[in-house]
Amino acid sequence: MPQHIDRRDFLRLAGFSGTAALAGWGGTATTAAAACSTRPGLAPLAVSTLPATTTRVLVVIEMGGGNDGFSMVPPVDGAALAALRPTTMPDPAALVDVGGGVLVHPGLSALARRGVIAVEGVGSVTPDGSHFEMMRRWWMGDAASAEHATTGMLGRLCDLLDQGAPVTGLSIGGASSPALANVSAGTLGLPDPGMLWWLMDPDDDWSQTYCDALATMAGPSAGDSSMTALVRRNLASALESGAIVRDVAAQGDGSGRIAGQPDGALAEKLALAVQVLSADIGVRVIHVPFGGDFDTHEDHAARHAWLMEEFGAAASWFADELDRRGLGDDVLVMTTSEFGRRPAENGDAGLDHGTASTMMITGPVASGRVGEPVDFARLDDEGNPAVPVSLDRYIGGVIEEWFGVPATEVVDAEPLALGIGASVAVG
Amino acid sequence: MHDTTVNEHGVDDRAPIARLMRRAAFGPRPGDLDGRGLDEVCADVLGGLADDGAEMPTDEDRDVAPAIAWWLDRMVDGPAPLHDKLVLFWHSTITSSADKASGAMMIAQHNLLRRHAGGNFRALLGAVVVDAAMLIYLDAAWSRAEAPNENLARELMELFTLGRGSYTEADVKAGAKILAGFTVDWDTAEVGVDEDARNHGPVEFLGESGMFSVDRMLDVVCAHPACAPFVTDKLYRFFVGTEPTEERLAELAALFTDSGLEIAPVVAAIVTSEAILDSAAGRPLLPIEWYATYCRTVGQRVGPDDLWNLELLGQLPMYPPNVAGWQVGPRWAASGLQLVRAGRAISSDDGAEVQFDAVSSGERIDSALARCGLVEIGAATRAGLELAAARFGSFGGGDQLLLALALASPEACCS
Repeated sequence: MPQHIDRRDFLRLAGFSGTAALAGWGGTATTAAAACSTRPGLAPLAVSTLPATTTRVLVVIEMGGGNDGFSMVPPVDGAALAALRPTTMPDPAALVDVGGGVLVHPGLSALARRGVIAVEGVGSVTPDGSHFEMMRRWWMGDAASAEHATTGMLGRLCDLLDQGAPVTGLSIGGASSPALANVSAGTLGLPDPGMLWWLMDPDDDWSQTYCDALATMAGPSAGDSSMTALVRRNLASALESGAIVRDVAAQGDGSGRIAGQPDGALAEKLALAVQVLSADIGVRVIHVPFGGDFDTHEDHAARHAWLMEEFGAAASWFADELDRRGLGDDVLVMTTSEFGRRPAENGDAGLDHGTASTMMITGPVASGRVGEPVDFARLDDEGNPAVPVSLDRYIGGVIEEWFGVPATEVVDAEPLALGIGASVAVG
Repeated sequence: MHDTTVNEHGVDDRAPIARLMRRAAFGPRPGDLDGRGLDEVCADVLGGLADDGAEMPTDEDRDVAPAIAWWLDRMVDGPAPLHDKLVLFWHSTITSSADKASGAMMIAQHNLLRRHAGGNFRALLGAVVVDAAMLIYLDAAWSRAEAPNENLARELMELFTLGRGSYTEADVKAGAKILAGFTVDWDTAEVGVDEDARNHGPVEFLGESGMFSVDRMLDVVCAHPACAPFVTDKLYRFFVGTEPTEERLAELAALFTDSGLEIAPVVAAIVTSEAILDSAAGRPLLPIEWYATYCRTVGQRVGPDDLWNLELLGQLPMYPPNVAGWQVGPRWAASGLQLVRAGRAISSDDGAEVQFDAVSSGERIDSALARCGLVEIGAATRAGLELAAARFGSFGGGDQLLLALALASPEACCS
């Protein structure tokens, strides 16, 4: 049964929205402060023109380290790749048919009854072997230009979808993701909710005083350096948002754990995502760092299989839980990774950094392959294929087809046709 | 250097002293701010740059937990804070993980960094590329020249020495070949060489060709014009929190090059100038720096239990989030981390016993600030402290509240 926080609390907290919750990414203090105070930012779309689809939710699972999309969803024309990878590909006989011509890694068998869209050939069209540069491009969503340097791709999306909710964009795990860096919408990077006991116990005068004093401390203060001012603003948004999430997690048996939840870090994060979505507080974008290491320079086959099993179990359980709460039609899950892996295996039964990869979308969609298959016969000097589909087009396609809003506000690219709209009733 | 204009309360120098100690050490310790002049404190801080020869201990189980606690304890109350700070810089920059390498290897790597932290950068690099933990962490152990693993070669250039744009993918491949052939004995952590796996032919690397030993490779890297600016830029950002001007970077890079890549002169130059003079607080504390101040402030004895808190704060040494380690920057001021710090500050058992020897609200607030080494606070922070002081007296936990608030304040996490 869906849980709801008290509407009075929600409205009270919603009144605090609008604090620039720049969650702290990169750049210098001056850049950060300038982004908060002077950049006009993206104007949220006028409420009356927002299609109903903007109440949908996007969950972005970030597979850090470089996921091998060719193992996750092997290409249809697999002969060339098999020749380059004698020991690292999954057994073709073990692949699982999810419909629409899509065969996936056996670890993902739990997704068989779900729709899976395989998006082929995705990457940065000017590839770079560095994790950090490639992650930065994913987060910033703009490979070529420095224009969006202080906001992240997901952050801009949140600004576009912003309807004044205290938390529109949520990152589950540790410090905030640079992908959520933005200007106006409320965003939050979350620690373990169990740590927020002191935040809301109205019966305890002492902890209530602590909260009141912290809130006072977080008010504007003349003479702050720009960094101190940023920290102060972040404290303010931390207090507002933390209170909401603490309430959400305290419902049910108070443990935050849901019956049937699989083991592993990804499932834990998705469990919190389920609870936040159930509470219906306006979160639209949830960024979930996977928590596993996809950088399989050695022993790829076994390590990747383990990761696929965790992903399959957690993602399918997540979909089941959402269905149970009547939310299944409103939530789309997409994967991302900073790059794929090289077609040829290395001497350690591993795979080095690659370029183009296959990404995956799952949710209320019909299975199918989109994008463009990689040409394994034409590899560059590093042994990598050309990238037919820019990362920006992938996210652009999701924004347009899932949320029904103009993608060009967020990324500078022609949205890729994904077939989401064709399979889901819009409206 | 600076006028020691200390009045009877030492007030004139207290702010720059506190700033210096937060940037070049792990925050002021009890008594550090009382009646001392800036020159004296500066000399003291620089004296802590020297390696006192301490060794991170290994226990028989070769477990890293007590070893990490040992290091945290030195940050809270050790004899050479600037040296430990520099070791933290190197560990945050040239990093490895106990998730991959063994505990014994990680402890040996830490001691390697201790020996080279304020010494010669070329020597540091030479030691690091044949370090067992590094070879394991960046997949160079058992790498064979015919199909070498590129990870160490890439990160060596991208993250440790040159930065992106100063080398090509071809250089990464060539570097990987040159670095091939090392082996690591998992049990003894001994690094060996497998001649069959080494590269025996000429390569082209960073514009030079011919036969390359690892030594020649590192010489070429260090001689590259991008190296000195890259390393000094990282040092500057670590200690000051902002980026250097072009002129200042050129000055510091020249100092580094002219000294033959000696680290101490560059650090001393930064510590005796910007670390004091740049008064706009622009450097968020790294999580472990905040935590060291917290432990010292509440009077908590450091032990392996602290490691869980460090993990929650985002900086458990020897467990970097990724190969880029931990870089100073605004991400450590993020909302989520503020919640963790505020929760930690109010949860201390040792903090619960705090009681100031003071009666008035004003005196109690001053005591709380003095305990944390905070000299200047903004109006909003003062208002918050006054609110709490008015509601709860010393008895009944009021002083614990004040101390927790001071620790959770924006000023306490910036310098």
